[in-house]
Amino acid sequence: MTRNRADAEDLVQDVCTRAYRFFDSFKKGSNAKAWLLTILRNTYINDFRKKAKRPPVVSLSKLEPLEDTSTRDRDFTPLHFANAKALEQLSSDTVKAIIDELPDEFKMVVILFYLEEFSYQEIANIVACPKGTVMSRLHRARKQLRKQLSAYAREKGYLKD
Amino acid sequence: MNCEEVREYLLPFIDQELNKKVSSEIETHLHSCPLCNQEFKSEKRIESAIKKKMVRDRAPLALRQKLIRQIDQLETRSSLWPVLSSLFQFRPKRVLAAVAVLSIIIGSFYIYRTVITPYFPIFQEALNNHTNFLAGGFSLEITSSQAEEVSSWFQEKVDFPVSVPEFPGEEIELLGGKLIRIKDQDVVYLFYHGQEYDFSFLIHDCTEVRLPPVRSVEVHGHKFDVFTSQGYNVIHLEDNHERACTIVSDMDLQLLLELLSRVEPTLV
Repeated sequence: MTRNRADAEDLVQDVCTRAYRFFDSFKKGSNAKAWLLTILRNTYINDFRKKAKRPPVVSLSKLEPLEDTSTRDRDFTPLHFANAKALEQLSSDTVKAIIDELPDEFKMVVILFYLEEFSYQEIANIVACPKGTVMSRLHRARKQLRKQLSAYAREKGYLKD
Repeated sequence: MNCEEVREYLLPFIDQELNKKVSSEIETHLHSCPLCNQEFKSEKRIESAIKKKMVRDRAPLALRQKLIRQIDQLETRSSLWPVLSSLFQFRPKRVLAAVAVLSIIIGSFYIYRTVITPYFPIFQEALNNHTNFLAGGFSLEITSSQAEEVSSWFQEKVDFPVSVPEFPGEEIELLGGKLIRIKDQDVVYLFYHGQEYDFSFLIHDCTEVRLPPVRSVEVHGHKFDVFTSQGYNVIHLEDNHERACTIVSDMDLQLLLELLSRVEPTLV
């Protein structure tokens, strides 16, 4: 999110302090992780607004692959068992690196979905956007992820052309 | 539903995010269409492969320690300050007198506890040693992953039996140990490094310990005293022969107790 370790650590510290102070606002029985992540998002946005003068760090090359705006594009790269098998051979680091390459808003959704295993609605609450947006971001991110993963697997020779 | 529609909703279907009507339509289609069914299986496998590859990073130690300190500060501030400040807003003289009286009472109680009653602050000391070691505050005198070697090294130095525990099949590696002194008592300090968790393991013959607010927990018939502070669990157990172990770890309490109950017979 912050693209910088020092900022990330500061953010985590801020979030912990806030969470500790506002623990009263946590509804017992609800999802603590989602609650914490919501605080994280708010803290990040507030902090970011404060530092608004700082130009946002956006790499254009990273945005390019996702420039198509149709959310319901049906041209998923054809997938076969070979892809799944190849994918299983990739290392976690590779998958991580490929996810890191995604633009922020997609990366967030992907991590919340695959790692934290939240539902669409829970993700929508955390990143504060409509469920439909989560769906379309997830759809595009997955498409991109598959493309990159199979490209990498092909490069490594796990997958034949 | 035709194939094209089914393909479009395949991923949300796998995620179980579709309503009953649509998902049952897809299910029916998958039963009758081998191509879509194959695509479904393949997608499902890819999805689970990605999920398996996701690894949770562990926060760096320095950050974790910073957070613990920070929360400690918040705790003292939040518990004391509102009370004090609200008191001082009214009748400062009376409050001061009350504070003076209170501090005399607390002070004398403290002196009584520290000077007159013998106790062994093992919980706090174990925790301090654990965080101190993690922060690089001291180094080990013997470094070896061989439990027997470490046991015999200590056995020459202390007058209680030392058997360095092993955790077979747990991917917990013994790094070594150091002889430390707590309140003029010899204590065997051992450090274990696990893939995700670290352990400090203290062996001593001090059963007259001062207990902070502890819970007694029984797991598979084994009794443990449990104390949780600063994000660490401190577990204490004693046997009848005046020997005790105190374990500090950031491992989840339930897992830690399960682990200890498995090796308990060898501990004390």
